[in-house]
Amino acid sequence: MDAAASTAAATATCPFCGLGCDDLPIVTGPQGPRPGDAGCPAAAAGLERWSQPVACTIAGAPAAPADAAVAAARLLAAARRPLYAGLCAEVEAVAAVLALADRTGGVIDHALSDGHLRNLAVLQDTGAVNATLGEVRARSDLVVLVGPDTVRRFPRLAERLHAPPGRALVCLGWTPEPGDLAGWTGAPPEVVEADLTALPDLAAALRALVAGRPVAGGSIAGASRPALEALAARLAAARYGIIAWAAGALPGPVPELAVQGLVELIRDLNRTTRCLGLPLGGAANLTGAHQVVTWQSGCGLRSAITADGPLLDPDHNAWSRVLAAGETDLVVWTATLGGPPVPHPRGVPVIAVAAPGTAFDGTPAVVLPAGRPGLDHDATVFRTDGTLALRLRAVAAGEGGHPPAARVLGDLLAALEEVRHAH
Amino acid sequence: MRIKLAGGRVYDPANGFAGATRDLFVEDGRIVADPGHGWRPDEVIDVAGKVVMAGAIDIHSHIGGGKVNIARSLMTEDHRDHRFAGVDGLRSGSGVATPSTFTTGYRYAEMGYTAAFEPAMVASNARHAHMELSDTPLIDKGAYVMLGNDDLLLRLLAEDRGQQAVNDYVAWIMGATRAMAVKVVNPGGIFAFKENLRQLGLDEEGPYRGLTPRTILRSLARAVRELGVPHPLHVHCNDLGIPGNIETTLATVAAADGMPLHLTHVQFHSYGREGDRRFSSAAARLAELVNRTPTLSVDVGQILFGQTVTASGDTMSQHRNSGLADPAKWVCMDIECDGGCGLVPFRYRDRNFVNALQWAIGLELFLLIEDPWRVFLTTDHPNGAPFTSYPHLIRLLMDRSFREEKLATIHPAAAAATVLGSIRREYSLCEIAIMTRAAPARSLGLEDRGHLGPGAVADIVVYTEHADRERMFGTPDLVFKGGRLIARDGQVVAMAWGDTHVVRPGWDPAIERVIGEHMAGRTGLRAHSLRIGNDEFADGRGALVVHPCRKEGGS
Ligand code: SF4
Ligand SMILES: [Zn+2]
Repeated sequence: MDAAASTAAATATCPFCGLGCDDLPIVTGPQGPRPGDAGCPAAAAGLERWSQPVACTIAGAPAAPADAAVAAARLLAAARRPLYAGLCAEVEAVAAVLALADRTGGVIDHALSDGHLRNLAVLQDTGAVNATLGEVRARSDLVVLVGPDTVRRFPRLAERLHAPPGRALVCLGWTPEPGDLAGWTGAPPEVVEADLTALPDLAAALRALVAGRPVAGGSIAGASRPALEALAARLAAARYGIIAWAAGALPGPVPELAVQGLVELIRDLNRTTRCLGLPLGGAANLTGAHQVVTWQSGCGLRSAITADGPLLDPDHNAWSRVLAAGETDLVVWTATLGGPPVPHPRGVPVIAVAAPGTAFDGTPAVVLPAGRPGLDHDATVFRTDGTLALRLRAVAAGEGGHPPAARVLGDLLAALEEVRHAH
Repeated sequence: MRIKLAGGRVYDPANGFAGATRDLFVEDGRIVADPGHGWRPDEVIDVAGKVVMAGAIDIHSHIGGGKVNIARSLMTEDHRDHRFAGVDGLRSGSGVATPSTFTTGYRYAEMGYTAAFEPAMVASNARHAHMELSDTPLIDKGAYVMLGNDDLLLRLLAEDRGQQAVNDYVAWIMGATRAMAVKVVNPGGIFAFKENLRQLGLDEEGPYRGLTPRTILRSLARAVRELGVPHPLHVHCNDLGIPGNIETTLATVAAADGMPLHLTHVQFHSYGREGDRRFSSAAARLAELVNRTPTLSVDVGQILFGQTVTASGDTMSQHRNSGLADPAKWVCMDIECDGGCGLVPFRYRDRNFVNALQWAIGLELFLLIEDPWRVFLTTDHPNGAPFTSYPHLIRLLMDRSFREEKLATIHPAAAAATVLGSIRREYSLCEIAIMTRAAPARSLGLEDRGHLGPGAVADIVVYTEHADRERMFGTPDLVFKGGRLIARDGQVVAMAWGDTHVVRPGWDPAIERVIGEHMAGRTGLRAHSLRIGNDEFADGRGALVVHPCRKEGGS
């Protein structure tokens, strides 16, 4: 890339992994917008993806957007059990999906909601004691990173934690590789070896130790007893301990139990000191999708809009399960922020509302191109902690991008009403 | 569009009408003075003999934002058991204690409420709160931003940067987050809980360089007054729910030194420590203080029996009460060097001594505070009860025999410990119109809401008078929002969007550098990221209404 051809830099808020960094330098050049420095591989990959074009098509053939909207509306009008999935998109787009779903009924799920649902199931059974990223950065004296994906899926986490005097890092169940903790300037982290597939046992042992109950055996869940005793003592002695996990990446047969164990451990610790969870997730605006579906329906992801209103049924409404079980006759997939490829289920038509760079497993019945949030238009995404809703300001507005997904979906709703009216 | 509402009995206390038979004239969404003979209405609606009031205004109701949405997630049973289909152009939804946003708007409108204010917006969560409010149809809304546990205010105070710096900071936060008023929750206590303190009295030295809640409270009350924000500092006192907390509450009022204050959900702050059970009503003491303090207003936060969830910024008290969670699950969150939130599901039981006495204490407060202009009808939704129980609460206030019937069914020791049975007062229709319309509008500085004089927005409610006040106030005949009929016989019949109300005091831009540097260091976020743009309200759903600050603010 010719640096001289690059135009003015902008500072953008990054929508990709969920950490919501609001200091991403963007350079727009002939190849489209790119991060101004190579500080974050995930951001670079997201922007790179966005430079691939997407075309408006009906059955793979180029089509005018208005015709494609009518074709999609006909499919919607004929569908009896639509699946609204993907939702890897800005809040406004997800809200527009819900407006559509309210007219047709159907299942609502985000492409990456597995981890989120694990945390949510525990919250709905037990609760949670959590901190936001800013609180962790400002106040923590001990941060326990459970598993490598706490930093590998969130590349700037260690940098964002920065390292004031007195802040210690513990890597539980993993050993950092070069680059994992880029930006961390504090003392080297302490590694506590453990088998993360046995995290529920590990958490139970830590709870026992924190409560002053002895734990039998020389090693528990791959961790040596002395190492666990030391960790329990550190957690109990910390003024403001943080336990971070990425529920989407937790191994083991029942990852929910791992979350449950960590949440109970945290709650116990709060009897005498402060200890808070930092559940990490939220790539492709998963958190924002959860928020808007929850406030508009009262339920949340993996609910269905039924004739009696919204109904939460996470076991039943996972999009991949619905597809595998053949319980849908139309997929409406929305993706402006990446996510997995748009599925291509056998015999079930797919309407894709897709920004540039969206990957496809096959040829959808209709592709409706949508703009890139924060490049082509202003939009809102949530940070992983659910507190910060961040505004993405268009840095390439008016440069011939596609319309916002919210408008594309609004047009689709209007076309649906017309098709229904005509019958 | 011109509408004439003919022959109603108008209760419009702001304009001195207490049931007089009058016609109302509406033109293009506003009330106009009697335009005389040449004026041809498009529609004449005969409301002869009906009770006519302005749309009601809820001054304190947790209807949108981060903690409400966590509460929705937590309250799975509430959403499973109360589901609403999307029919006739309305959106689907669910929940009673924590209704979804569209449902919230519908339920309010059906009861004749045309405005509700979210009282606990965390600055870092403001954009989220406004997005939820923007998805709440039919009613006007606004939000109070919470300060007094944010690291930066405490720092400005501890470093003695002066009142002007505090004022500039408060003004900037209000402007950035699009706030209508400022609330302080457990001054210094939420911060202290982050530092592992479990209680903090008004004059106790807090963990931030010994700063006391009193200093925080006084400085915020002064900032609000000096900036000319119409609504006084909205105060959730320290020591919520603790027996004996009446002393803290009274001392909080004294600490204001004559500056205006609004104390919220005072039911939770009017507890004595008398009796065998070391829990007693101190309502009479607070009422007596309110009665002789004209600069003081309160809302009650009445509890009513049944299932709900408590949702509060007060993590210190929510964590303390987490053992009472029913169902047994709860959430606490420390938020962005800014505040916190705690969610504890709760079931108030009439056969439980404490709950029963809480019920009586709320009613005592309503009935012992004499001036309806300074006591507002709230359940602190959803903390005391869902807002949909307002018609029931109104009946308790207006109907002594109904009240005594209920009193006879509560825990006998609680019934014996309250003076409720001896209070003869029954609220009049006019007093209800004051406390639910005229007074909240006046307190918030809403010049053209809460009354029916010329120039007022035509938010109008028509009731058939009924001895059963619950039925009367639960199912108004007609509800108009901006001159448009939105509900009939307690059912929404048309969609409309209310406005968002904000106040925007000016600030010295020099404070922006202080805020920017502080945030960059503490949270790692740019201050710019908190600022909500005008464009974010340009969604075609009602206007952003900026209310002027009061001139007499100044020095
Ligand atoms: S860490 Fe995440 S939010 Fe931050 S720049 Fe990288 S991808 Fe974007
Ligand atoms: Zn409240």
